[in-house]
Amino acid sequence: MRVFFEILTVLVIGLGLGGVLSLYSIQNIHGFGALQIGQWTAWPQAGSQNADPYTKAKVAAAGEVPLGASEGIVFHAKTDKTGKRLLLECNYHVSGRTPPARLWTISIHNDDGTTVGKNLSLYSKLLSQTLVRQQDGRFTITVSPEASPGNWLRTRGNGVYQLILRLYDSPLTSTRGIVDPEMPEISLLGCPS
Amino acid sequence: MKRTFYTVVIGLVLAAIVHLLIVLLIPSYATKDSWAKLEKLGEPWRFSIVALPGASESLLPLVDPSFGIAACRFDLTESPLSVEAHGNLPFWSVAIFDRRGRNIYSFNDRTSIDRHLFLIAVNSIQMAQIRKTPPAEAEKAVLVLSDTNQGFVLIRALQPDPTWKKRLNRFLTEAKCERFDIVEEKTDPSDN
Repeated sequence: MRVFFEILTVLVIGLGLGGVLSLYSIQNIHGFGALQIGQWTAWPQAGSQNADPYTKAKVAAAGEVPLGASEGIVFHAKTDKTGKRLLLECNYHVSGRTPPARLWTISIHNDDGTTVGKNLSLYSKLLSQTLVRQQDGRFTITVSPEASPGNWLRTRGNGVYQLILRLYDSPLTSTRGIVDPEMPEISLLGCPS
Repeated sequence: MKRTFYTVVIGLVLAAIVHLLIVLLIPSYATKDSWAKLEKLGEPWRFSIVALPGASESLLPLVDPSFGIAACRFDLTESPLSVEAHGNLPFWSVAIFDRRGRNIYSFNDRTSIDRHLFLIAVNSIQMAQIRKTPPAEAEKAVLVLSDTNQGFVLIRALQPDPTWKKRLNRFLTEAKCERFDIVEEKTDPSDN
């Protein structure tokens, strides 16, 4: 009887913990093979054959098609610079510079990668070419539910989201990379109380 | 007490093994991977639209809402692959993926020949045939040696704003994904 319970314990811990751990590790942002710049994370190897097992599992389970090396690189940000989750109802500034790229886009997505907000096609994404910039090339994007002058990325609704910034045709992936790449900083302006 | 401790330790070891097995086996057994999704979308050897700019829903997750995407599945055991598309768009890129969704090759409009989208993908046997008798078309095409027979090609094209909609649609819907015939020196005996 005792042996039976021991075997049961081993199985419950083994299968249960093993399963939960696996599910968690492929559904969440993980550090394996990740490139971290400020609040932004990218998996430069995601599409390639020499990606680590965790990245491969994540890509396969989500059924996503990563960008190839001469296509570009995708950065995800789920928090502001203080580490708090991004919320649709709050106002943020995304300011600074990006690594060199022929073009880049920024858009708002749910955690599972679907786009947030239907029929917001004009405002829920921005393109580098149409951005208002300062003379030194820096830019500030306001991410908020209310209209804002300058570059405005519109949010609608409540809850957490992720910002996705995609650099296309960037030396970050197409050559051996660049020294000390810089990504814009995400700062919280405030939330309606 | 000591026995309980060992029981837990063995449980944890099993957990680690189960975890490793699951992570390593997911790519082989995922039923919702990109290939499975594209299978539902349409026939092989022709491009199907995966996503159009601004669409709220798309077959594949994490697609850029500024881009239109078309995909075509191929099987090199049947024939080499030729992909061609025409149109003057500000940015497009092409990528070849294997059956598991891993990227084999990619290029964009700047890294292509004359900014034309024309590629021929072959396996190593077909590559040898092409080397022996290079077809005239192969000179203008990006020749890709694929280490996998089954896979898919993905074209991503930028739509900077809705005024480009028509051009983008034409670019994607008229993109060709065809079997490319290497001229064989021997004549086919079944003809007579």
